Amino acid sequence: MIEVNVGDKVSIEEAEVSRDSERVYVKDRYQEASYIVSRESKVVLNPTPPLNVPLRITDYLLLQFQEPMLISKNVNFWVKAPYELAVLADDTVLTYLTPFKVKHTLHGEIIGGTICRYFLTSTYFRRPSKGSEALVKISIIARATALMDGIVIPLSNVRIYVSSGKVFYNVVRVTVNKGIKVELLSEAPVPGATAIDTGLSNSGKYRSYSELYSWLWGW
Amino acid sequence: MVSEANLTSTNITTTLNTILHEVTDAIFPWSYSEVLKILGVAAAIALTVVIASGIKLIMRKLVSNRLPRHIYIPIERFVFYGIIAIGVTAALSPLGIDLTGLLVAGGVAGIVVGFAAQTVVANALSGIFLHIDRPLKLGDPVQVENISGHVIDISIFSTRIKTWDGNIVRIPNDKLFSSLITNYTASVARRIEFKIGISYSSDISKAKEAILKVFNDHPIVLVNPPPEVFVEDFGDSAIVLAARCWVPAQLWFATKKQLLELIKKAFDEVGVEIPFPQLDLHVKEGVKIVIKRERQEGAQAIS
Repeated sequence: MIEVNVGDKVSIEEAEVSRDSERVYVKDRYQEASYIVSRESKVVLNPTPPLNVPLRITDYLLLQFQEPMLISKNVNFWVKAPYELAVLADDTVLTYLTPFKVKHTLHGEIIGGTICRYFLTSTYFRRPSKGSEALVKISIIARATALMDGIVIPLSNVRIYVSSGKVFYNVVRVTVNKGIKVELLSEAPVPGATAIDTGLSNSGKYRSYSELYSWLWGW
Repeated sequence: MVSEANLTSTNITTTLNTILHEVTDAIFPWSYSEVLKILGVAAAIALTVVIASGIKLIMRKLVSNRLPRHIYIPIERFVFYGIIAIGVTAALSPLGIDLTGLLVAGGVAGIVVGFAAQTVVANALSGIFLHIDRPLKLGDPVQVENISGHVIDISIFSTRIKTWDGNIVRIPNDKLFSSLITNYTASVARRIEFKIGISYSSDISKAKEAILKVFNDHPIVLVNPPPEVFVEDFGDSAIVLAARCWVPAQLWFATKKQLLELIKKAFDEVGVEIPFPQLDLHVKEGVKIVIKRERQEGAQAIS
């Protein structure tokens, strides 16, 4: 959680929030807006699952690995994932910002498949220290051998943690058997990580399809 | 005296017996076998009701959640009372009560009414089949023949579509059922295709890169299936590029109209020209061209 006081300007990758005595200004790749907020109000940025920017299309995230991984034994590794920032004033969500470029993809067939938020990531056997993306610890339980080139995570079950300024998802357990089963565990990914209120992602204050027409594009 | 008394007593007994029989006959006018028949009929009717109720319960479990309530209820009643009618008719026949004539008369009347109301019946049946087949649902963007819009109501007799320009079109269900229906959200993704002409002096690879960059930067354009751009034709005035990408079905139109503008901007940035129709005129032999110039009134004429 980052507090934005009067006169502050906070930038995380492409997301930018600034504040003067009367207004809060927000900007990312897909929007630019201002909100009238009194100087007494408390404005904070909370990391949330990447569901709402530029509009909510899906509840699933496909983390595509840059290199496919052969799974033949139990292994733990880390991947990077996107997140969004909820801009809250006195606990009311003003908007969501994305620090990262947003892409979507189709997982499966055109009929019966699923539209997923898309993110391309490397895989790391040690926790990466560079980059502002969220980190996800993947715990593989191998009961069969499989070639894995990515995983699909149900975002509505994701819990966001923060530790030493880094953003984390909860631990993802992947069981490889005849199929691949993905579970989001309730345990913190690193000791001492603080859980962010997960109610934010389901607060209902997200853009609807009808608001598509009023996007503020940077172009 | 004694014999007279006995005689009187016998008469009284006989008379009482006669009265008792008459009373008994009046109260229970049926023989033993007739009583059995009546009990059998009652049991058959009760069994019919039980069977009809059982079928109703099975229908509620298996069919009711597949059909809207206003469609399901009439069907349920038709089946329930139909079974009761057939069962009662069959059950009453041992008593010599024949309702087949009534049923036949009802059937004939049904045919007559059916002929008179065949359009209504056809619409109703098509409405039921539409609910079973489900080629469209409430809210779906569809095209039925030459009518496009969102489905706003599917009733037993007709379906209403709100066209893109806000008109409400009512389509009878029998016509809808036999029409070509395109449902734009039956698949999760739809393809957008553009035909874009660039001038012959423009760099094809620059144009292709510019279009692909627009696709890759757009958050709604899907990574997979991948976008593609290729030269489709050498036209009279332009090299025609085909550009294709896939987007979530519900955002097809909104994304399409954004992409066209973005492609034009991207072309302007990299100097790719979208030409207007051109005609090069080649003259083989020298042709004398007379040019007349007129001066404004008051000025000297130029010869």
